[in-house]
Amino acid sequence: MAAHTDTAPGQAGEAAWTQDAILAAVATLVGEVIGEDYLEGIPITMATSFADDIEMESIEFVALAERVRERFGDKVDFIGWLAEMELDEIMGLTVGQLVGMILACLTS
Amino acid sequence: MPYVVAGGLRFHVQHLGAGSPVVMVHGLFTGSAASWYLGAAPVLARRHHVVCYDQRGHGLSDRPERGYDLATLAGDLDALTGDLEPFALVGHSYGGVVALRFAVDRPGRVTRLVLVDSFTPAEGDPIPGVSDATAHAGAISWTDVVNKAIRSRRPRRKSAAVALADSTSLVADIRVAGQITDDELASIAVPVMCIAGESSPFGDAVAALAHKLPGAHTVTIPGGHALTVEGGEMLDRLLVEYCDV
Repeated sequence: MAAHTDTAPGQAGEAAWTQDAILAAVATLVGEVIGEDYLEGIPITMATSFADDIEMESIEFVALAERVRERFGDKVDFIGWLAEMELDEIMGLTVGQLVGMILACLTS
Repeated sequence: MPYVVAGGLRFHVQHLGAGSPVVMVHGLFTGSAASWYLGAAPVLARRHHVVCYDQRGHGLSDRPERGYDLATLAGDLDALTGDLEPFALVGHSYGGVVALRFAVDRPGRVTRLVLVDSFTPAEGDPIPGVSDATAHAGAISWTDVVNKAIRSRRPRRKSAAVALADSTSLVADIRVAGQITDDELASIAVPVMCIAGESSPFGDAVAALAHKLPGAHTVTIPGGHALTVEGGEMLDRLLVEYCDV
């Protein structure tokens, strides 16, 4: 993941991931998936809704899942998390819920 | 991103989980790997190696102008699954027809079939109501249900479906009759589960297809044609029970 310029806690095994660091990393991944042009003016916060605020499309959510898996590794069980949700729950997700799931996986 | 090149085209292919393989094929126009990835696939992935991909022209796969006939779509499926042991094969809508064509062409490679509100053209006739199907799919698309993307500032999903219909041979290709015959359907020896949406506008055609498949049984569940969106836990459970044998 040489393209990432944000700090990458956890990669060297020393620093622990924080909520803010995960949020920043997720915001970068969202920008990669849907294009920074489309994100212009839309802040990515914990309260940002994938559907209502970013208007993320379903296939883009798959692409985001792929990037989260690449970025955070097997400890983050994105697929197991999706399996617990119905479609309307997935599409109602906020960035904060995703960040919270990642944080819980990485600190468990 | 996981891409595979086959026949000169780049396909987006997703692998989930581990276990006996299940391959899932989405429906046309508004379908994509997301139809399964955000639905039944993660549930199946608890006990199976699930493969779902974007058919040509859809999702993150390349969109060529031509080559949407049934044999070519089934050839894509063949090319993308060549390294798998025999697998359970699940298709929604026309993805089920692609699955049937594959099962006829590669009988040793499929252990069982699930057709989710799928139907085939009657002999000598074009697919019943293909334009209706397109309109229907558009009317209950993901974007409309949850994203309101038709009035989005980023209506890319809608434009992708429109581009498929307007700028490729897809509609013309799938209107060609006789791409799978009744005799071929009768030759399919593996068990088939047909799942019908009780309010699907294609109920008669779905029932007619099931009648032509000797190993088929039909389960009707609440929902319309877009069962990957509307089927919910009931669809998940049917697929798990059927694939877990």
